[in-house]
Amino acid sequence: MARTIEFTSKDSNFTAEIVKVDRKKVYGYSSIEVKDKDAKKCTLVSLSDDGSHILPSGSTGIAKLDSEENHIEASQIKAVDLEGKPAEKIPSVFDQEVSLREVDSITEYLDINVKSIYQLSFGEAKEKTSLIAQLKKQLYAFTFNYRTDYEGDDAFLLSDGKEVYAVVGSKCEFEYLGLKEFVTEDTEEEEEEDFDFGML
Amino acid sequence: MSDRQIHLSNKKNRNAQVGYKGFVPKKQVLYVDSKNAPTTTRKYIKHTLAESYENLLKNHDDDPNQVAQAIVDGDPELNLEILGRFMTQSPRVYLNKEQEIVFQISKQEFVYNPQGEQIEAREPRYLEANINLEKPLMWSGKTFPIKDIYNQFVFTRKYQLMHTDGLTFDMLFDIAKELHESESMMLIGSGKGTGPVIFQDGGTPFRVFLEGRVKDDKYLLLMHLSNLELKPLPES
Repeated sequence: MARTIEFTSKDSNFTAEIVKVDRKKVYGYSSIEVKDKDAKKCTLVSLSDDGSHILPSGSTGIAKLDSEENHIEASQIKAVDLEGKPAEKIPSVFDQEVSLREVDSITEYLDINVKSIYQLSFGEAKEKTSLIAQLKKQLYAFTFNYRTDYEGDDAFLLSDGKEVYAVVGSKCEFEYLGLKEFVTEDTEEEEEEDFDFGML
Repeated sequence: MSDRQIHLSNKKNRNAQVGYKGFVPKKQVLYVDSKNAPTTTRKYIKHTLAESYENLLKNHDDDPNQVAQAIVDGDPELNLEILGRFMTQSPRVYLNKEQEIVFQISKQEFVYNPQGEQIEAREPRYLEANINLEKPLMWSGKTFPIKDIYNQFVFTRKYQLMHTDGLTFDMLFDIAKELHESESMMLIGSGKGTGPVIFQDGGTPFRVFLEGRVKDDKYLLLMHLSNLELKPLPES
């Protein structure tokens, strides 16, 4: 079932459901079937490191370990920011109003590696039409968290003129490159050498 | 310097091998233990095929009640020899219905439309990487103003192109400058420049759009990868 988000911006407030968009829904998909020599279906499983045990799907787990490699419970782990201060949880977008920030430049949107895309669905057509008109002039950004968690993703609202989408991802940190990067330059001043054909 | 190479041509059809790199988002939150030291995670084994529910059911006349009683009486779901062992690698094999390892397999690929109807059955396609072949990826000559294209395609992933010497610096700087000044992206690709780009053997094909930015005497040249148009979902 689609879930609802309440958006708020400087100019308007609106509510929309979000539906995930992926290639499968837009273009279709393919799957590969593997059969043995008797044309019977096979399943893919893992082996233990020593190859002596078969590990079907669901037979492994992820253990949390402390700095001395001892198992610890999730309740014993603390989340901290990069300065070591306790991190605060960012609520799910479904649990509180999501405030939209005006984006200065399309470049900010182009800087994200995209994780997921959602199509917005509106109760009232008027709201959708009005937002599509706004998005022609102005992109909006917000912090997206599907579940309450310590880290939110960067999300942008945009429209293709027909629908409104939330594109969710994480910002890439780019570095501009100059000639000196990766190029070895001989900076020592060379002494002028005489041409001496006798040395040849 | 990047150890990943791509063979690229510019609009004058001059070609060169240059480096490229991807981006991993920086973590803003760390998880620490009681000594404020970073915690880690590791994959471990919970059970093997022999202790799986399906196997226990098979060994107890397909009767869930017998399985439940056996678990209470003797813990057949636990294999203390292997339970909790960390995994460092996991080779993978195919099993048949009799739970035997299969050494001879055949594969078939089934293609479905967005409605889930099968439209084709074929030999599985294996696409080979085409970014560093003898023939470089070409400029298609198709430019798209950024203000018109950003909401037509989903630019899933970014790679930054990097020069490897002074000559390739000039080449990439000039491309970046031209795209920066025209506020456009350029489609590059295989064939005449409009074909798909595959970065790894067996990988996903992408359309690649070049975007350039210039600041003083430095440049940023990005490959925006897309395999999805931004368009409404089909009516269900």
